Amino acid sequence: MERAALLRRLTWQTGTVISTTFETPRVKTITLAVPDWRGHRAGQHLDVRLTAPDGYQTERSYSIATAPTDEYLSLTVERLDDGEVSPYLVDELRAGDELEFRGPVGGHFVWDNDFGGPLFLVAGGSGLVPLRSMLRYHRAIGSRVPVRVLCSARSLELLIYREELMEMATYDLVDVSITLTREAPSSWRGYRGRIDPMLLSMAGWAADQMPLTYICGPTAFVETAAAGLVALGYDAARIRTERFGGTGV
Amino acid sequence: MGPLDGNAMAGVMHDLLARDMTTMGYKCAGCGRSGVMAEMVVYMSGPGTVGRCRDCDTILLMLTEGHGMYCVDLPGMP
Amino acid sequence: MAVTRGFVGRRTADSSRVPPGQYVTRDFPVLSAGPTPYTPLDAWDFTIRGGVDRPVSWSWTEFQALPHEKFTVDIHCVTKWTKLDMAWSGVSLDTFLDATPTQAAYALAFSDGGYTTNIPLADLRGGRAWVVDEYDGRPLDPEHGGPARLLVPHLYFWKSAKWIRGLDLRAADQPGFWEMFGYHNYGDPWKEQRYYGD
Repeated sequence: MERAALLRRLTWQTGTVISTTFETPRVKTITLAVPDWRGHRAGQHLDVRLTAPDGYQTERSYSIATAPTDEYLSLTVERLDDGEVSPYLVDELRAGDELEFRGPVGGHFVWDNDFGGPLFLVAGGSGLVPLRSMLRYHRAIGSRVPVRVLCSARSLELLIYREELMEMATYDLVDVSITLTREAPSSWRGYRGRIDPMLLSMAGWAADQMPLTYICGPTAFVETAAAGLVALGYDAARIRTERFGGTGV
Repeated sequence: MGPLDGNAMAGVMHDLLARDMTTMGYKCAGCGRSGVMAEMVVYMSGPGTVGRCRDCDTILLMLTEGHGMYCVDLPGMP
Repeated sequence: MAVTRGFVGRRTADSSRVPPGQYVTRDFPVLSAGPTPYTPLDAWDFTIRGGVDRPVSWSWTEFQALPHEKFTVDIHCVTKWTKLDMAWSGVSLDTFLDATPTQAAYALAFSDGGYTTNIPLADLRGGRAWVVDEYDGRPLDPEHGGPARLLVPHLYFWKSAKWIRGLDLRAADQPGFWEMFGYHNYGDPWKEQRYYGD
């Protein structure tokens, strides 16, 4: 068995928190000022590291919520009750604090304009975060790639970036569908219930249009969505997935 | 915590190997599936991190850390 | 090292029951290195093989008929949590080992899903180790190792192999799954034997 001691090659950096904003009662967007930020690609994430006074350290990954073209770097963090890092980030962290991170990292779950289209973005809960970065970037660079977005949330109140999504949906090339899985207002005209092949076929593209798909959400959500799309005839090689340990949707 | 995928290892692997590993291709020694590291099923809740083939559960990658020393092994990649 | 303002981390409890570097949890965290196997009970057995005259197996029904002990112990995981007063029911390893005379000095425990861990045989004798099938008065949950797991509470919890199927008895020690990858060969939580060389 080969065992190697390796040099560490990606260093930790420090950013300063400029602002924190609630997206929902349990989800917060944290905006950072980072000196010499070297830029990122839409869909990438950061590893955030916390250090206690006794030296104890712990780290978690969070998707970057802003586009490469945005002025600031933001993360959107969902508070997990049994979590170790997210309760600190949502409850305690405030403007002026320093936050240690490394990144941006990840070269698989990223979108660029020349990857072809049409684009289908499927989000479960806070899985919308890296897809929002893609949507903002798509808009900022004036991409001509048509986009369909499907967001699954427990309720309208728990849907993050609600107003921004509504605004994005007014853009000709972007079509946004929302499904509410737990409760919906009586006047709700969007979809209801968990994603399934029927919902995916209504909200997505026909398989013969060779869509490029990004799915992000809790593990079970991603498995359901990916399997559903493959069943609809989507090319598995054109489906990119990212799973995280969040709450269900 | 349930299993995640290879995206979750992007930071530590980039740190260790000085490049993004999520797009690195692999061929599973167990079933022959080929894919990229981002698609591995990744178990991070144990003493170390284990990456397995999405089709057949063969262990593709093991990562442990102790006292700042990392140990990486790619047992399922021929 | 920059301390994160307002982050307290995990509070270390300085009770005489909590080994160094551990903190007390109320949860029962699930630790997994692979998918949860679901072996039907009629296909399950517990086998002692290797350094014995011939392998001996107990079916699920035979295992159920063996005398079970109810006991309460503290569990220490190398990922730094300690859970106090965990109530188990299971069969003492003495019961199995008394039926399988051996000259071997070591055991490699093996499980469904391919997991292994090595333990000196002496640590499995003397009423200090069990095959448990019940936690907190209920059948052991598959995610916690059900239908049955090894329980060796005086060592770090990775030695208490989930989904246990048997012991391979050996004259020489052979590292198991985590031990091959830098974890300590013995794993005494009171000596903080986490990694190779500790």
